[in-house]
Amino acid sequence: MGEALVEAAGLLFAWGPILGFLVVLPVALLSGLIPGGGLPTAVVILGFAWTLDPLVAATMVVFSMAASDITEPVPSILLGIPGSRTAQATILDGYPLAQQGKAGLALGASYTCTLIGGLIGAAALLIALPMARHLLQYFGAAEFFLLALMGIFAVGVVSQGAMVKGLLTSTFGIGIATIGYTPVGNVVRADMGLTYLWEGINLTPIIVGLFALPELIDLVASDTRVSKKAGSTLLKESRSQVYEGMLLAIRKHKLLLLRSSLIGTFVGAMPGLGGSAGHWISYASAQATEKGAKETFGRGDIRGVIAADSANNSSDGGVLIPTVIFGIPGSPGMAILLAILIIGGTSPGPSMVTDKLPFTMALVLTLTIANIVVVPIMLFAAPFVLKLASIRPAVLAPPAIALVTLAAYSSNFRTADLLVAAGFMVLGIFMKAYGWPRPPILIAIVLTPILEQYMNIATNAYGWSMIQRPQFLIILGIMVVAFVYSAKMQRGAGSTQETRSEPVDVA
Amino acid sequence: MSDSSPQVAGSEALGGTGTATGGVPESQEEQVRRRRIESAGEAVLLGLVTAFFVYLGIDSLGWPLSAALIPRLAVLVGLPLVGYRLFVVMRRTVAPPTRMIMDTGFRSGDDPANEAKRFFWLIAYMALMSTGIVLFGFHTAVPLATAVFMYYFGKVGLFRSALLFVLLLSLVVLVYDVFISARWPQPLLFDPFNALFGEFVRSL
Amino acid sequence: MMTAGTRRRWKPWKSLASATALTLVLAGCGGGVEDAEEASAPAEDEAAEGASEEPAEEEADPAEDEFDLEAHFDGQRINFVIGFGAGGGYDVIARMMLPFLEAELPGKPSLTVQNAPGGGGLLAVQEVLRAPADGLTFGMMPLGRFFVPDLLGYEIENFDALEVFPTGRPLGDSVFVGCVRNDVATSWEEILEAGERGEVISFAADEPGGIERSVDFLIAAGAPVRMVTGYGGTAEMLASFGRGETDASGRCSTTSQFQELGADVVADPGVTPLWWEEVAPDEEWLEFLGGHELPPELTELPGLEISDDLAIGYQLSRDLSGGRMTYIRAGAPEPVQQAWLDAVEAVALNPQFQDLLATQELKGGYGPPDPFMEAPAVIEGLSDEAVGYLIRFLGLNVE
Repeated sequence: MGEALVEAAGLLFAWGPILGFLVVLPVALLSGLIPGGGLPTAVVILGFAWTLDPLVAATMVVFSMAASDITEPVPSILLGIPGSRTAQATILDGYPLAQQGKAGLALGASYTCTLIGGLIGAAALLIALPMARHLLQYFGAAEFFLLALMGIFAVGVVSQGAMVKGLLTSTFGIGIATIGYTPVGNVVRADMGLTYLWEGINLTPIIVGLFALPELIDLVASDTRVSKKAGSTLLKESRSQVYEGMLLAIRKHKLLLLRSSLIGTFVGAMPGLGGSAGHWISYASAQATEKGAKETFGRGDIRGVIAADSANNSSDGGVLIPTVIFGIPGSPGMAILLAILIIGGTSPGPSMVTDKLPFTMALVLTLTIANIVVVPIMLFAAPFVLKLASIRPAVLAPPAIALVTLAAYSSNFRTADLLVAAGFMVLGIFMKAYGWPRPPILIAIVLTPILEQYMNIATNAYGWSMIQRPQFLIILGIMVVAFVYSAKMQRGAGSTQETRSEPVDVA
Repeated sequence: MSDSSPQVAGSEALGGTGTATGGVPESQEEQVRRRRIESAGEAVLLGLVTAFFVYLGIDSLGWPLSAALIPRLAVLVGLPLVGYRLFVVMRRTVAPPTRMIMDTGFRSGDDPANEAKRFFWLIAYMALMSTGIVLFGFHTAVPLATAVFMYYFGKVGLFRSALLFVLLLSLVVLVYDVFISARWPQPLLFDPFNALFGEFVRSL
Repeated sequence: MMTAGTRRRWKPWKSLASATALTLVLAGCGGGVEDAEEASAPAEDEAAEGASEEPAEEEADPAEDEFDLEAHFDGQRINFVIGFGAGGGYDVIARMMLPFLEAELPGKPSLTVQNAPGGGGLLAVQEVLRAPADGLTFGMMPLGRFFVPDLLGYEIENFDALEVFPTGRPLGDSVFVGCVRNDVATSWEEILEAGERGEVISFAADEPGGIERSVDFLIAAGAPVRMVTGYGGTAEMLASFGRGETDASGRCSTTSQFQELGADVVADPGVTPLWWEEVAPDEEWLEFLGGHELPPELTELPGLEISDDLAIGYQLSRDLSGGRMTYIRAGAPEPVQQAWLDAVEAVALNPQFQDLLATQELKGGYGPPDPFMEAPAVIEGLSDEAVGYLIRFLGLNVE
């Protein structure tokens, strides 16, 4: 193992990979700021896979995905625009913090969590690699189904205070997610006679329409900057806020950081689940178990940012496991990595942890390098990034709208996606105006396909015997314990139905 | 102008709470009128959701059970919730919601007229850009519409608007065309314009 | 905030500058749509009028030696349109083909893969069929998915089978071997006996039909087997087979992918090959699977009830599945069509390309387009039952 690690380091610290990282770095940093922006970079690298050395191409993809994951929380925090794969739960507490003039705090905590979460994910990957294949063989469709269900339960968390509306929007989201072709039954569902809908509705236009545009409209209509504080004040306070956010993450809430990172790594390692479920499960579990969280989450509680962002980046290490060992990509980016490996003549499988262990180690080290290099850059640039929060909405919104429009179109290069974004914008405006929670739709759309796939496989493959599986019972037991603990915490804290409008300071 | 808190708990519609925060309390008539508008708006939203659920439910009748299970569950759970919500809205017995995550209404202040104006200007910008995309294509519409809007609405001055135009055009060309090899739809006016001026421009 | 009385005055030079900018941008960008696209939509009208260049070429139908293939392809940028997303099976194979195709085509054009997912591949097909009939837009698709329903009379939006000119598959006949875990059964006879006791063995599948037609065939023939659908691909299916979630797999294929991902289950508890489809596995492969004897071909398995219609439907589904079939729009000059046929065949038979394919679950070799050329006549004479089997085994989603 140690030898492989040294050999991997030798492979990486060569001109090819280093130049590759330098080329990809600025692109990845910027692309993470736009919903769905991380993937096109990986696709472009795939286009050069034939001419590049397989190691260089593969490490470039891993580096670009990791780097864009680190910058994805920025629009979530500053503008309330969730990422297309990660940085979704971050908006729930990150954006309220920005509105309270504490964007620096949120960014400082976010970057720290992504760094440490990413390192934990990479370390877990290193430790688990030799036995990953045997370990993961114990988890099957029944367990994946339960884990997806755990993610769906996050709907309850984000519907606090409007449970009926939250459930309603989540069922609506489930309906939206079922549109299109399904191999379950070999049918095309609810396509309204449109070929466009055969592949379902793409996530990026939904995010643009449901979240980005209504938030930008809100800023412009109210003529309110994201942060009420003037730019000069923000700049002065930014460094101290960022520093304070870092300390909160690594000192006061280190256990939460560790736990969330491990959740992200574990869920990310489940073949087929990917990172999307991880941060929602992490957020929901933090809300259920942290003291006073039921009252404070969603109102600018730094712990919400920590829980979400630790899991975001640690899952990058997790999703590498099923990709290289089983050939099952956990995300669209991993699918491209898989393609690059195959084009380069490397077949994923057990040999990735035996003969080709140095190659695999090089991928893990790339994750580590990406975190170590990118996070300090983002921390240094934080004050300048924070200026976005103090820009006049009439100046901020139009370029932002232009960028998200391009993002919505470029997800699949179909004009119909712009119509989808427009339609969801109307829906998003209504929902925001009438207090219908929007995050449940996002959760439902992301997790329903996974839930349905594994529910179908589990019931067909195991039937009722799935409840006799020890692995299934263990995960079910964890869910029950978490639920009971959460209920006890609620009773102990004495949850109230009072209207509270002041921001919460739990820093 | 805007309320002191970024999240206006208790807000259910455009316009904020029962009182414009920091402003003069609404009269009884104004409150009734506002609630009627709110109810009508939410009824529209519920109508859209109901229509989708009904369509999904009916369409699912032709699918095998394995494909229909999840959608039908969503419809079976969703429709009663819609009914309950409709009942509550129609009865106008909505209690101010308790603490909520994120979706607590649009910000409001004491100048709703100008807020509405700004709202419609932004919608107009988006409509203008979209129309431009259809007629002239992304390369023209996105930078031009944004720059024009910034100049007139954002009051950033001609130089900065032009700079933004150049930056956005560069982004579209360098990133989307060159880097990603994007495919663009053909603008509606391309053919007639090319027929009239294409040769002249290409000869330049 | 704009209010009445504060309108800005619009100066004339601004109008001129804006108009100039608009003109330049409009004329300069065709929006990534090929310049020749302008000929494509009204091509039929122009052909009728005999006015355009493209139809003029078709109408003139030059003799081979008068048609300059080099000039036709020289300097061209050809879009290789794929109906699936980046990183998927079609995308990988298309990207593998690029340098080989560029070398084989006259004039050495450059090719770029263009992903156009949507409609199960239909959007990509529509894009190729909208392009000019000059052979400068190339595609690859599961041809049977649209070709066969169209020939059967089902309406497919903006698709006409006669507008498609297939140019061959860059892949040979695949070696598909069905095998079962030894802790479930060690022979087909054991499976039949278990079936008499009411036990049914499960096979992992992504969707009905397609590659899983072998299992679908067995179900139709009354064998005690069932499919567990919903897996996302071969890797997931093999993982499920490896952990015992499913009893058997129809993809114990002679590829390095199975060698990698199936090695564990071959070692413990071991597997027994039950049948082969299309091409028999060699001894080396049987040795890898545990030193077994060659099993029977799928249709020769004992205990099956195979009607004539079932046999015809199954055979046709193998011939017309057309997975990874390349094509251009019909109507291109004959030398261009032949150039593509020759290029695809040369690429398919290139040993270097075949080595690359060995990492996938597909075998190198060339699949000629002949079955599709003959398909209209063959399908016309089919019974309803045979058509039903054909639709089922192709996994077609038709009403």
